Amino acid sequence: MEGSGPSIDELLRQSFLELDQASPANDQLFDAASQHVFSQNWTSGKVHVSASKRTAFYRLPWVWGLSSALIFSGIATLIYLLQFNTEEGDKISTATNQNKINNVSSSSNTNSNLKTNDYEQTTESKSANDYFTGTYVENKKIKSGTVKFTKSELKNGIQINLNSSLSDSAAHGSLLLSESDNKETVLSAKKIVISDEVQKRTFVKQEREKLAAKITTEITQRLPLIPGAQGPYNDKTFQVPFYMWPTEVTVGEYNVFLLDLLLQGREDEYETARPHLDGSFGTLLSEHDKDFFERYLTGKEFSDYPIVFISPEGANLYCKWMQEVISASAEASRSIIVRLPNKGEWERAAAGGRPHIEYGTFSGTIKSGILHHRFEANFKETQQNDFDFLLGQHSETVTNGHIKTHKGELNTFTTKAGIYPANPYMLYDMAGNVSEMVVDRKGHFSVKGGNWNSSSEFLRIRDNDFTEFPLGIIPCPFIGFRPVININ
Amino acid sequence: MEKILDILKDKDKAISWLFEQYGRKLLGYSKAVYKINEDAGWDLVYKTIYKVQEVYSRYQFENEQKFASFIFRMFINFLKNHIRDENTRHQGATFIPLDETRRNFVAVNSGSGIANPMLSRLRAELDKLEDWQRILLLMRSQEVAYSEIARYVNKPEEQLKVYYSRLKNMLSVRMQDLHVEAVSETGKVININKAS
Repeated sequence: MEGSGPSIDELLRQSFLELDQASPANDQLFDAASQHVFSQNWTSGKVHVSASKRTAFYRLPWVWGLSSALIFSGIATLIYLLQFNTEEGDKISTATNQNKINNVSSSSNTNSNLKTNDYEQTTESKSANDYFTGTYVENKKIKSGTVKFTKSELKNGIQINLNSSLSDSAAHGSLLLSESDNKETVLSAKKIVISDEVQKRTFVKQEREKLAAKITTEITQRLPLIPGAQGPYNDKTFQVPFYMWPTEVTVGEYNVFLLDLLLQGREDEYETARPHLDGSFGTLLSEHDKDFFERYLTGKEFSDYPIVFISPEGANLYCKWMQEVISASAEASRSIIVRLPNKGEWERAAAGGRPHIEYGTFSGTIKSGILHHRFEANFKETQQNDFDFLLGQHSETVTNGHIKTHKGELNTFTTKAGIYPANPYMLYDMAGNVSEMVVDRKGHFSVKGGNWNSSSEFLRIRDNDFTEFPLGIIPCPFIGFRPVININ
Repeated sequence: MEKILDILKDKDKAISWLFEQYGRKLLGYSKAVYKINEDAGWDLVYKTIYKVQEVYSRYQFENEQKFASFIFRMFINFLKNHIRDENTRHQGATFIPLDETRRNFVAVNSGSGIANPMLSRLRAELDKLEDWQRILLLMRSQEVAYSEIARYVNKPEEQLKVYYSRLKNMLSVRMQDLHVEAVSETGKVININKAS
């Protein structure tokens, strides 16, 4: 940090970017700058796709789209023409025609145009977007070769069942390809081209193993163990010790889970678990906010931020999946349960062994320091003055997202999980950032801890007299969760 | 403009055309002026192109220049967000003990944590200037030639160089009044050098 600061030139360049585009006073500037930019002979660049983009599964199909448009349109036509002049082309043509003749629509398909066949990809060679190379089942006969899908088939959707009975190494599950869904969300994982199948499965398998290893390590070495007690905080029931995830579940962790669901063909669960920008809260969002949230929920740069816009059912599915991941690597004799905490457990964890403490933060307060200007949680401060340099507000520069409160004030958003000091149980963000789901014995959900948009009273450990979410726990940008783990 | 709108209706054609007409230039601009690396630059270009194709029908453009300006502004938005993200990528929380004897801005960390108060100060200083002075400074930041700027501000080109130099010096002096502190990872409060 020591050294020269930014130069005036750098600041001026940055100031230009920050100009208010809506202001007519700046129209002339932008028009002039754009004329200048488009009239200059800048260094010409080639279409370039880096290796990292090919393996960046959370990157949206910018590269795919442009590569397809520029390269595939030329090369694919050539290949197509060549293939139909060769023996292989005859096979393709035959396979394609036979597939068309034998077009079987499963009654479970929602789209009657879908074609169902069994395929096994036996090679890892790259295929073009509308080819499948490998072994497949057609009319109950195993065949091998290359099948080419037509544009209309790709457009209307193809259901591909990868059947495990073909070989031990075959992938299993079903995928739905749809060209009609152009949304750049994690749903783009549905636009899995067949040649990517092996790569994606390998990636998810590795991520699951990593996550399992991380969880195992965390459990044995670092995961906070909340001791059992007889209602030390507000709860009079006896509670067994449990482990608690140290941070709110992040976007990155949640996306591994979603991708795994897709690749396992658990589409109903995926549909329940995915972030819902299209829910009732989503109708309140501006286009700008929606764009931001889509970026937040799928961008690599937000992978360490807490996941939002998920339903309680989605959170439960994540816990169930995490339980599968851990159980797969745990000793057979151990019983592992991953679930959402109940209110008493959450409160006890937040208190950190300190009776009558008000907030689940490092110091038990949300502002500390001589002038009370150190913020220990990300929440909405309601008054500001010259000295209010809010640690929570630096999330504005991190996220670049804005949501206006009902008063029209610009507010900030979440911060990276775990950047504020932990409480004595080494739990982070037990106050603020995102409100965390808890569930009671009857299965009713509520939230604890407050969020980035909450005023301070909602960050308290104890319940308030009124709820922050009178409409219930719905997918929205304020609510996340963290699981607890029982190991017997 | 009619021809452009026709091209934009076909998505594949639109993407190719936008790429050829504007994409390369935007990449060159981002690399030359903002020192963006090539991969990131292409990512921004692609985002812009796709977004333009997606939303163009919601707007009306008087002519091709206005359309180009629209594309440029969209790119600027993506570029701005990218630079902000890059600046704060490694940001962490650090508690800053505020010295109540000095009314100074404090920074949380390096990158935009330091730049933000300086940027705010610069904006405040720019607002004090006359319009033509502000335009001159900002246009030169985009490497627009003096000859072009002269047409907009209605001042002789030869004088603009002198004005520009004087304005920059004046800003430098005013910005040096801003002291910036930060806390290193070891917890030591250190002074950040002033704007150069």
